[in-house]
Amino acid sequence: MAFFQRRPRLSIVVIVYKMPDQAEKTLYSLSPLYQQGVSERDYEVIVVENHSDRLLGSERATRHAGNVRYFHRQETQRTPVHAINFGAAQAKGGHVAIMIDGARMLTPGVVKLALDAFKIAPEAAVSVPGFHIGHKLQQVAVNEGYDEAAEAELLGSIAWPQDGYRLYDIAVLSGSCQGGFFQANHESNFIAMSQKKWKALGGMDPRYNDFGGGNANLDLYKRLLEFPDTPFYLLFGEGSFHQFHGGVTTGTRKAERDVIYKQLDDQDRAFRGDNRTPPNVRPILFGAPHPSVYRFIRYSLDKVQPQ
Amino acid sequence: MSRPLLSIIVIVYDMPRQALNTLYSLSPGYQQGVDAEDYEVIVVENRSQRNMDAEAIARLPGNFRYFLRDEPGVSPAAAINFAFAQCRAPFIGLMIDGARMVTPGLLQYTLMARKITDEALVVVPGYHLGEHEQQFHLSSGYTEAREQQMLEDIDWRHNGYRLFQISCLSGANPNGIFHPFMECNCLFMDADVFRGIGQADERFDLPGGGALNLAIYRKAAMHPRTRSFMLAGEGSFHQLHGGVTTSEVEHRQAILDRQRDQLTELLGELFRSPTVEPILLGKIPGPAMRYLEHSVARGLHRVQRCKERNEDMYADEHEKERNRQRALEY
Repeated sequence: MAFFQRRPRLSIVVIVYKMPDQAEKTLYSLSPLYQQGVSERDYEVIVVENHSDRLLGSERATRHAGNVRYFHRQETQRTPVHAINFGAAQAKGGHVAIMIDGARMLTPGVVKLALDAFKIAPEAAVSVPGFHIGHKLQQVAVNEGYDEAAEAELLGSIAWPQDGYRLYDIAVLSGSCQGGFFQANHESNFIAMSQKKWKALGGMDPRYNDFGGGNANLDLYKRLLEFPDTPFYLLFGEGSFHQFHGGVTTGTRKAERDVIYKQLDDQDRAFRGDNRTPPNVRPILFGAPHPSVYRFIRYSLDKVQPQ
Repeated sequence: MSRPLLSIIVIVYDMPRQALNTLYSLSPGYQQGVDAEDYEVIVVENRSQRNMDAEAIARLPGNFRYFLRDEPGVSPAAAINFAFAQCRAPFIGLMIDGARMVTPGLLQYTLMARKITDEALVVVPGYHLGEHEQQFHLSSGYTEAREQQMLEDIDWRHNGYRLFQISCLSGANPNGIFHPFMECNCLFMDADVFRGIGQADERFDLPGGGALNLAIYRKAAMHPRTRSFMLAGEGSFHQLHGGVTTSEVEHRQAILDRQRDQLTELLGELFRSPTVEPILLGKIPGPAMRYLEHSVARGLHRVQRCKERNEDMYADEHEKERNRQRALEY
């Protein structure tokens, strides 16, 4: 064991539940094999897996990098919020990033750029836009037969993980990022901030105890971006890409989903009342957009009126 | 006063009104999110019939240091080197043409890039005030009076980003930010890098320095210890002042040919715009969105062209990276 271990600058908390194959790809996308311009010592990945009959397990979680710590938890509620708060409590880094859904893999510049953003502004909020793999949102595509096999074929077509930026060629913006890059949108699957700020926010609100945490992630995102003295950096040339895995809102069929949505919405309204609009914060754009991102910039421009 | 983080060089010749606007646009009241003590502005004016009003400069808030010098030649190269010798900061900005005013976030985002790395080479897109590039000002009936009126109409001192509304992209970057730039009229780099590229090569002795600025930009962009940052939501805006290549003058083509020949001779090769890949940083103000739209359209076109020709869009960037790796291995 090393006598001196440098404290990682960033701890990335990834929550896994019933998605071993997708989570393994996500963890590969977080490894230094794939992330550019960073080494294992710069950051750590904390995987928290809530028990299920389809476990990722420690061996698969840690096989791609030496900076991964794996925790297997028993969870009595159907929410990831407790797992997130548990994961963040394990963090050694000066900053934490929350990835509520382990099925979302990243592009190769996320970690380096997040670290750079915190060099500029240690108290910043940093996030990346969200995408769905496929040519339609997965909650739509699932009704038309989209499944894991179709997705595997798409990933094969871009020879993933050779060039992670080619994910853009097989993806659409996720529902909560339809507003594009020039506004804050509703949420992100990579929400990063200082430990200090995480503590000041009190972490995830543990009352969100329903399916998938309901709107807990939107709530965290809004509270963070609206926190005083919190410049918001959007890594607009990077993304998180949702893989199909039968998640609550992205992988169930419409009729069933509508019932669940209503339930989650009712709970969210009970906690937040009507104060649920997306944070009204204009992002500082930061990143080197790959040519495959240009079409999403064009789309985003169409979504905003000149101010 | 403690040592500033940034020293900005502004060269002035025969453009007192325009240069004062430029200096105002660099002052702490106009620049947002920066402290006056973070930077200094070194103004070097080559004497002409129309010099700046030193008292007016002294009245500006912030740290302006003004030098009026006699220049026997017709190039700003020596003035730049003189100014560089005055700089106290380890990070410098170079504005070879004092007629270019800037937007209010320029210094804030420049200093942010510097926080990320000392290697930051900060590049700001260039614009011309007016609907058309100013080398066509006679044909389009554009005058200094018209320009002053437009500036007043947008109340630019209080609405710096409205400069985007009354401008067009300059010929140095007509295709926007996803194409390589030929030059940059508002460029920031580490002082050691500027020293390393030989500062301003005084052999560029043509009026206005000829293609000196292109040479500086190329050498800085190709320097192994630079990483390009592009402030896509900021700009430098050229005011009409009868410049050598930025106003409609007779024999403009002959002047450009001569400049190009000298550039080739002094570079030792044909000039190419450096294909470095910039990291974009900043907010995009509403009035700048239309330029981003143009950049994206032209960028998509470039992607297609590079694909057809099997060209690497960022060949110079990748070459720099390979050189870096090789250097690390030794």
